[in-house]
Amino acid sequence: MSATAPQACLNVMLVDDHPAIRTGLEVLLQTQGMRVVGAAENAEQGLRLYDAERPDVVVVDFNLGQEYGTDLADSIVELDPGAKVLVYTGAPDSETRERVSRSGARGLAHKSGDVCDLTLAIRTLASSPG
Amino acid sequence: MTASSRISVVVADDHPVYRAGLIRMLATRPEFEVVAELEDGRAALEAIARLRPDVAVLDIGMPRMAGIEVVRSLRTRDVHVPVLLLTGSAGSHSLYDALAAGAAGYILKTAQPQDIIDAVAALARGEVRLPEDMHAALAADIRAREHGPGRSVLADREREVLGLTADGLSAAEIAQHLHLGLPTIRSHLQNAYQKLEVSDRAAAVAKALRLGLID
Repeated sequence: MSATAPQACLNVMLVDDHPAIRTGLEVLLQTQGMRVVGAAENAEQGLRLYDAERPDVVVVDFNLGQEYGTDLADSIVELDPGAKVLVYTGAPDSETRERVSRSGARGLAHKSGDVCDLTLAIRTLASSPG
Repeated sequence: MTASSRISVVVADDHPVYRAGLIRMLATRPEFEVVAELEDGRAALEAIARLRPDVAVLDIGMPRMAGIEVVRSLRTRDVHVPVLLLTGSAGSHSLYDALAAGAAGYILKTAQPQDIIDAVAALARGEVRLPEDMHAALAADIRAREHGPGRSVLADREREVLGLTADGLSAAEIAQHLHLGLPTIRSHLQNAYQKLEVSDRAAAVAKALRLGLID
């Protein structure tokens, strides 16, 4: 782990179709010293926002309405192979884990976990090699 | 706006991210004051009874005490605080049961912030709020009661989960089968136990079979 990167103010982008979850994540990540550069509610918006903001980490809900967050992860990585996408999901079953591992996403965080687990996952991912 | 003219609100949801989002949504409007936030039903019940807010916004599927049970207990204690119940999906719990228990409103967690804010304000004015997109689910629930008193005891999802339990599936296997989280399945089972007035899985299956609630 680098000596300087982990404590830098991280730019994080959120994609979740659930308005309260988007707002809640924004509030909680800001309290952890992260900068939320934008929040999108679907894959199309998410891809546009990523292209405009190029954040350090993208947190994507696994279920984006009719779409899978992993498909968005693939699109983002196609646009920017160095992109760091974290999939955020409820209790993940084996199918979810498999989809995430096959996708361009670099990690999986549980919605039911402590918020600190999510911030740790974001910071770890941000400090990993691009 | 003076402090006394603000609408005091108690918020309870076991999901910290959702709870934070909801509180932030309410904080965007100066007329609301969130006086307490809780993460389980029993704590919510005590806070509402003590603080007597203008409105309580409760997740329907909280640990320790479900939202509907909090509403029932408030009635028993003669605490008249309007309660807005939040639900993950229209078909997962009985709207009829929620309203019969005394809830003043019911709204999907996925509702737009403005709709949730409007609902809280409406309850503070003494109105009942039930979003239009949930009317069909309520009508179906009422019809089910007309056609058979037994079937309507359990919500559709509870009946489905109990049916799979009767087939021998574990809670984890049911979660996988229905593409739902394990906590959601456990919540459905707990709700089914409460409604059937039993304390374990085997008794719930036996009673549900006897009443013809599952095949």
